[in-house]
Amino acid sequence: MADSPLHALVVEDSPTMRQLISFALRRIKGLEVAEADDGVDGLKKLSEQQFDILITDINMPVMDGLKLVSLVRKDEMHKDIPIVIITTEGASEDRQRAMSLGANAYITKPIQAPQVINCVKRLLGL
Amino acid sequence: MIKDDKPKKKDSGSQPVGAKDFLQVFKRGVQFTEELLSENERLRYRVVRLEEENRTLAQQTMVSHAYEELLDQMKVLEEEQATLLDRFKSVEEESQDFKTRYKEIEDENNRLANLYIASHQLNSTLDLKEVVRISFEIIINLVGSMDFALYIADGSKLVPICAEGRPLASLSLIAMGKGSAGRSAEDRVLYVSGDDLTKASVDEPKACVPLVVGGRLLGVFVVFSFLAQKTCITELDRELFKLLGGHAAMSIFAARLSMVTDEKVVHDASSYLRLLNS
Repeated sequence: MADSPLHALVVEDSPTMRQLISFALRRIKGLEVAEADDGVDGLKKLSEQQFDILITDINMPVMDGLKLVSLVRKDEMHKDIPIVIITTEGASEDRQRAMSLGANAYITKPIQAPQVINCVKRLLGL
Repeated sequence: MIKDDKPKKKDSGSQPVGAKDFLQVFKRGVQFTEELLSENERLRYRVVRLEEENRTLAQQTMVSHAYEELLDQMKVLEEEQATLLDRFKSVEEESQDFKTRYKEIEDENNRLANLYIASHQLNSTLDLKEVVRISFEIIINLVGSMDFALYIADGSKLVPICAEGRPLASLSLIAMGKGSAGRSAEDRVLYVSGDDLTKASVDEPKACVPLVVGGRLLGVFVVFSFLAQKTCITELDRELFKLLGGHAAMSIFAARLSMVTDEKVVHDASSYLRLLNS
C-alpha cells in the first residue's frame, strides 16, 4: 500500500446512501473519503483536488452521474480515474451506457458494504 | 607340495650306508623346510586376505550401523512429519474457523452499519417531509424497492399519502383488516410475501410494514414490488423493516407533533424539571 493516502470521491444525492458508501469506504486502510451532493458539486471537488477513485450515483438532480462520467473523462486531470457507478437501475442497457461512457465498474442498489469495498480495492490495486 | 627340481644325483651305490641315510634325512629336512616355507608363504597370503576381509566386514558393519542410524532418524522425522501434518491440519481448521468468524463479523458489521445509518437518518430531523423522504430513501437504497407507498391510518381505512414508482392517484383506500396490507396494519405485524418479489401488484403486495408508536397504529408502508436484482428478503431487510416500523413511525409522529406544537412549547429547563418531577 502507498505511504501517502489515496482519495475517493463519493457523489450521491441521497444522504443515506452517501453515508453508507462513505462508511464502507472508510474501512479501507489508507483511503480518505470526500463527499459531494450531485454532479456539479462533484465536478467542483474534482477541480480542487486530485482523486484516485470516483464513486457516483446515476440518478441525481442538477447533473446526473452519466453526464458527470462523460465530463470527467474529458478532464485532463482525471481522465484516467477509475469510476464506479452505483444506481438502482439493474437493466443491462444502463450498465452498458455507463460503461461506454467510461465507467470501470457498476454496482446496483441495494448495495452491500463488502461489495463496494471489494470493487474499490480491486480498481485501486489494493 | 614342494617339488624338488634339482637334478638328483645318481645313486652310485658305492656310498656307505650311514652316509646314504644321512643324505636321505638331510634331503627330507630340506624338503620339509621347503614345505614349511611354502606353507608359511601361503599362510601369510591367507592372513593378508583375511585382514582384507576383516577390513571389508568392519566397513560393512559401520555402513550397517550408519544405515540403522539413518533408519532411526527417518523414523523420528516421520513422526515429526506426522505431528507437523496434524498441527497443519489443526491450524488449517483454525484458519477456516477464523475465516468463517471474519465473514460473520463482516456481515454483522454491514448489518449494524445499515441499521445505524437508517436509524441515524430517521432521527436526524423533525421535518415531516424530510422524515418521509428519508424513510423512502431507506426502502429504495437499503432494502431495494422503487415501487411502494405510505398509507396513513384514518379510522377504519388506510389512506395513501405518498408513493414511489407509481402515481398516488392510482392507489385506492385500503379497508382495515382487508387484504395483506389491511391485515398487517390491523394486527400490527410485518408481512412479507413468499411470491415472486419483482412481480408488481397493488392487490398482492410483497411487503407491508406497520408503523406503530406506543401500540398506536400510525400507518403502513406497502411495497408492491422489489428491484429486479432482488431475489429474496434477507434477515437484514426484515430488521430494516422493523426499524422503519418503529423509528419511522416515531419520527413521523414527532415531526407532526413538532410542526403542530413547536411554537407553543416552551423549551426551558424549569418546564423539563416540572415534567420529570410530576
